[in-house]
Amino acid sequence: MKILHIFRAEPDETVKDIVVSTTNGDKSKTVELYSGEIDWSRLVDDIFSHDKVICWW
Amino acid sequence: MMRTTELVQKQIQILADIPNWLKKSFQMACCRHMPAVTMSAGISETANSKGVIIMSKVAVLIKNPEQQYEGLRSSLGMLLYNTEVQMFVLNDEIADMDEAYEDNMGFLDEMEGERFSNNKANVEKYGFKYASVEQIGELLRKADLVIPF
Amino acid sequence: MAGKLGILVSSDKYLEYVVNLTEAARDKGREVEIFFTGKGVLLTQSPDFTRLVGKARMSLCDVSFRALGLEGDVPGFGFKDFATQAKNAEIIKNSDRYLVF
Repeated sequence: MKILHIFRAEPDETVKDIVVSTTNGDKSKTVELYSGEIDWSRLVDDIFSHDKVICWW
Repeated sequence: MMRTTELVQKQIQILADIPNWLKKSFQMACCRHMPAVTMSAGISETANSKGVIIMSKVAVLIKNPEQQYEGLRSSLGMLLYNTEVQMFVLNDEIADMDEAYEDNMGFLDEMEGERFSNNKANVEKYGFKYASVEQIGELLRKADLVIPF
Repeated sequence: MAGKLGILVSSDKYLEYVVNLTEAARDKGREVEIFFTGKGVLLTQSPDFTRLVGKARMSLCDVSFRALGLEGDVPGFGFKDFATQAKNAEIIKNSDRYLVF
């Protein structure tokens, strides 16, 4: 399963731990919206090309 | 967030007035119009042994105490639409266990939603099932959709 | 192009993200449907909210709207778009992908 993790803000330790156990070795990609440098068109492609998308805090 | 007591009480009353058999009938009536198997939001719908179409799992994850009630309301809405729901309250004890929260929590239980927390006070005082952060992650893996509040 | 994007807006912090994502999805031919709940309904009062009008089907939780002291019209919203949590569940069911802001 391919998982896309989108972070609206910088994750705290709880979120990081949950992300690790949620991913558990599956193929994954992360997008940090708070970085400010987002290719939104590419993000749409990523959303629909991954099996599961989680938009974290 | 301020809760309009009158509106919330009306909502609770509406839910309370619906007997369980009618809630289930409503869910089954909705299901008759659904295609046999579809994929949506990565959520697969499958038929149970009685031929009733059910949606798979949604995990509602609540970290911000200010969002605890909103997460509960959303969980209830999904349960009414024949979704299997697991609600997770992370880290903090329920901030405001008032009548509205308590009643809606009861409805969630009645409608066979599950609620978990890694906060032991929630387990001891309010009947949440305990799950560590690691266990929560494992449960989220099995969910079709994860909704962080 | 097939593929519908559902968006739940429960926070009042990320209007810019929602607008950018919606515009990008529409540019790629994706249908977008948005549900505002909790503090997310406050975004309907923002001047930038109108950037979403015509680009996505939108609805909101009427209980949240009233609980936060809001009233009156919202740009792009009809009467039936002041909805309930059941509407959110319907959007989840009918979307191919679902995000939360």
